[in-house]
Amino acid sequence: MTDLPIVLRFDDVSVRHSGSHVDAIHGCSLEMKEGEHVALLGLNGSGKTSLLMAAAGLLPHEGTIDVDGIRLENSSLAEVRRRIGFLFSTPEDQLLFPRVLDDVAFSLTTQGRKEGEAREESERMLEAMGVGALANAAPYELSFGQKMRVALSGALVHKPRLLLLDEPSGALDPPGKRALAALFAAHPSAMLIATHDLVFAERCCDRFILLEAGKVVRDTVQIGEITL
Amino acid sequence: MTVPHAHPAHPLARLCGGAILLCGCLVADHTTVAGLIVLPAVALSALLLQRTRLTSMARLMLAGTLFYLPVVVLASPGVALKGLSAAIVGVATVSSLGPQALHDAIIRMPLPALVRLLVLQMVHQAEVLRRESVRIHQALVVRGGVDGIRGIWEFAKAIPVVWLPRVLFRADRVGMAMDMRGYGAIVPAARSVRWRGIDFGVVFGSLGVAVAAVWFSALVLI
Ligand SMILES: Nc1ncnc2c1ncn2[C@@H]1O[C@H](COP(=O)(O)OP(=O)(O)OP(=O)(O)O)[C@@H](O)[C@H]1O
Ligand SMILES: [Mg+2]
Repeated sequence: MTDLPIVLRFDDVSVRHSGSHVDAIHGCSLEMKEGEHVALLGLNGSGKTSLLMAAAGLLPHEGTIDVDGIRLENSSLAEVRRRIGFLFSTPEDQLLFPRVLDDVAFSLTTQGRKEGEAREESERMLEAMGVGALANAAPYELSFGQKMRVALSGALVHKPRLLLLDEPSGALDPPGKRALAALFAAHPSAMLIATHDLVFAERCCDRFILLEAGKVVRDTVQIGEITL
Repeated sequence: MTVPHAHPAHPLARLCGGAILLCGCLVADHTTVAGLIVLPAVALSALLLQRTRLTSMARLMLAGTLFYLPVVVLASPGVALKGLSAAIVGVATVSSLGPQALHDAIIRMPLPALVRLLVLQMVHQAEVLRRESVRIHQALVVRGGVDGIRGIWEFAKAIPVVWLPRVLFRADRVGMAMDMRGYGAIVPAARSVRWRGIDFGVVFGSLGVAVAAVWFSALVLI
């Protein structure tokens, strides 16, 4: 386990939103190994979303961030992002096509996959996500939970090296959460999952990081050590 | 955009037809009497060629009119009529296509790839925005307990304070998502279309109407 490559490294990272006087993330250091599933836990406003966004280069940071061995800088942004799958907390914003299937297949075609192949694989992904019947629907016509499932399909389908997922289970019904946890548990990509849902986190993660006011206050493999 | 309906011509042909008629509207001379006769005729032919359902146009036109009202008040009748005719042509084309057919048509437009991408996102986001506007209106109606004309007035007042900031934040987030997903780095290829008689009919019909309109509007009748 120890010699697996590191897919995400934060070294003394601080993040501040423009116009804000306080750090949303302060002096954070952490490492994630290939294939590792890590839950990012914390109360509202503790900095989970900010940390995910910094890791994808969506917020400016101090300190150093490495993704899959690449230093996150302006010049390396595109290279870094090709290795990342991201789920935004408002899934609607990341759906860019008027047909669900096209949206998911886009994640594969940008990676150079053939169109027909991309469609087939996307159909399987949507099926696994419980929204196979919506392949030809328009994203505007979906419920919030369905949009979440479609956006997730687009983030997972190309099996990126690192998945950064903001509240993936938030809008799902109980059977949906169980199915998603099982799917995540079997997914080969490394995942950093922001959530408040301890039960969900326990089902699909093997490590738990607790944030409080922008600082990592606990990093453990025992979820029992964490209370929210 | 509202429910699309069956039209025998390919979406691309209908979009091209709409674009040609729009050009006709914009180029036609609105300062002559002939121009004032011709402009509504172009709008009418768009409705016929696109087989637009009037019900599916009505709401879009109503929303458009709200924004268009200042033009009618401030501009000369010729300019106002020109704008209105162009708006009808545009709305007739778009509302008869619906989001998916429009997407399919744009992706096949004989335009540079980046232009296609840009137009695609404009159309897609316009639909998202329209729905966002409906939600803001609903929230105002439910939380403020007002409906009808008062509701529309409340919505109009909310445009700068609620709608605009939301739209800007949204644009920011969508921009981030596009960056994250590599949108623009890879451009979807234009797929070819097999043109049939009806498709040529729509395009050349539109072309005929547009050319006739421009020519006729330039005649000084009186
Ligand atoms: N756009 C912004 N501008 C300024 N400050 C912000 C912005 N977004 C978040 N913050 C601040 O950064 C801090 C961390 O917010 P963040 O969204 O990362 O928390 P979170 O853990 O994701 O919360 P939640 O569980 O509610 O999603 C909060 O104090 C918040 O007020
Ligand atoms: Mg958050």
